[in-house]
Amino acid sequence: MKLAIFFVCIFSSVLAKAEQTAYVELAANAMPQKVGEERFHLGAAEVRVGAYVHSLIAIELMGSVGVIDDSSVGLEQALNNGYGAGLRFESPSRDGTKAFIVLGYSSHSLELARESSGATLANERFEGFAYGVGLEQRLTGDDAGLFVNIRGQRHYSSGGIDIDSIGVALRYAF
Amino acid sequence: MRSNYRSNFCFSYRPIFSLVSCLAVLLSVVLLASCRNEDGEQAFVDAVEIAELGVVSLQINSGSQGLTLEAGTSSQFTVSATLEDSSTIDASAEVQWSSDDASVVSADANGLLTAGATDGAAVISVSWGDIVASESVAVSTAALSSLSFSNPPLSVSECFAGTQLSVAGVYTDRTSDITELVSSWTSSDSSLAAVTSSGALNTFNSGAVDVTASYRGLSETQNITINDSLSALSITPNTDFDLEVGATQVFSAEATENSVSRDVSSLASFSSSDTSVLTFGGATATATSKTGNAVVTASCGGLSSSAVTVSVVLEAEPTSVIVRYNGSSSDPAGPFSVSDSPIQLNVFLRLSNGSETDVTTSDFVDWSVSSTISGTAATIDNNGSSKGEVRFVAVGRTEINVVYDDSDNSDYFEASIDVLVE
Repeated sequence: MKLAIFFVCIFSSVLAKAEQTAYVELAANAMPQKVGEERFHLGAAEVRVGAYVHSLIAIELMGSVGVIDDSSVGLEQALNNGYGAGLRFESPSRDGTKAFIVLGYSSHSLELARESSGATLANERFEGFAYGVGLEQRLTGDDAGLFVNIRGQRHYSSGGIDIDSIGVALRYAF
Repeated sequence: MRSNYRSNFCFSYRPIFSLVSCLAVLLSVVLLASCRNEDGEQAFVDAVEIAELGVVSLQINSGSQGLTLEAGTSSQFTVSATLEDSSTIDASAEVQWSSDDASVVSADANGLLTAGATDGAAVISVSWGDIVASESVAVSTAALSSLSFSNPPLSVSECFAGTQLSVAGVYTDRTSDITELVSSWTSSDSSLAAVTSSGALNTFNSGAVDVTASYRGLSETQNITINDSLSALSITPNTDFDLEVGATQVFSAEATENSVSRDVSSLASFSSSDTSVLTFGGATATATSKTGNAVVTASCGGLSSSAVTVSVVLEAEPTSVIVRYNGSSSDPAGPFSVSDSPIQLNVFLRLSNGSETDVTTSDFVDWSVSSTISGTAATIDNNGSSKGEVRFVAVGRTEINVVYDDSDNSDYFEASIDVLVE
């Protein structure tokens, strides 16, 4: 039900906008995670699409899949998938460079298995408020064109579980 | 025309659309962000903790009744975990407890099992991550016919704590340990020995004592001899000392038996020769508001420790401040004659007990140049670690003033000193 409300809000927001500039972004993320006292370092590929509702504010949807698993203390952790949405607030561009912050929601499905036997110990989805910061540099064009950015985000932090990501992305704005 | 109208319409309403869009997304985030997966968090944290410790199996340990519980009673079970190196740890606080038939035997989150009112059996399971263990626990309604002490200690040392007593219940279908069910324990002479609610025997002095256990209207008595076995008793602190009014001091007592010493602080009886000056609660002495001397001794096993005199004194009060130059320990006389710059002045707070405390850099201290008596004025630093540092550029005589102002405690003192630069 919450998800339905969410997507209704998202699409009604986009449709309500008179003129929009959209973008698509491909990112490679390192995903450091803390479970109790242990740390895992996963890798993920991520796609983001966004639409501007203001010259400096965009609504963004993201989806990701794990591409690198990690092991520690005989346990192997993997990212099954992730998705989310949020608002991206940008600073005005200065010499083609701008900073941005991201506030939104994200959901990540993680699996923990015994490295020796492969037996799954836990397969859970962690979702909640996500936030992050980034820095972007224009590569071509003016407002539209190709950009490169780096972004760090915290996706989840509760009950001994921290899920973060830091990555580099290529963005094409229409 | 139509096109222009649409364009203007959209342009003029764009800020509103943007605001609505943002609010819609933020509302969605708030709705979704409240989804915390507590079970998932616990599953991940448990899995990692088990892997870190190297837990390979769990073992359920029954309470004193064993695996057959008397109907309507409770028994505390525990769980031990075996690690990869074959060592074991207590995992009682980590596991999840469950029963396949809670009407026969129920288990709470702390491992306290409660038997139902009828005969039967239930499988009790514990789990920690993916590691599980199970035990079948029976409930019996068989009648209890008598009690008996199990392997009672016939003689124990004096001034000794924690000798565990065990009582067996003789039922019509079995005999089992019911120590945890015993409703009362009594000692025939409380000056010699006492028994705790869990059946631990604590002895004080030598002699013979009868200990009685009671349960469901049945009683069993056991005679126990307490040996005269101690050779010495000492206390710590073992030298005379001062204690400010209202302050406390924890004493400890040590007994020697067969050349082996052991702590008997929980059993020894501490006493003060003047309870209007010093009182005891267990091994903790508390100074009253009255000053004076009290002699402290401890006794146990018929022995008394050597005496320690405690002088209860008033709390030391600040009485004045004094300024000194370059760490000098003597009091100043006349102006300081100096030739190098800078110099460090220190201010000390004098207490009523004769001691002094360096308060040079205290927030309560304020340094200032009072007056230039002759020549060129000196300056004094009043901030940070160089507080109290005097600088001068030429010969002259300057009066330096210092104020100590602790308004919370109504302490206000002033002092001044002349610095003579030659």
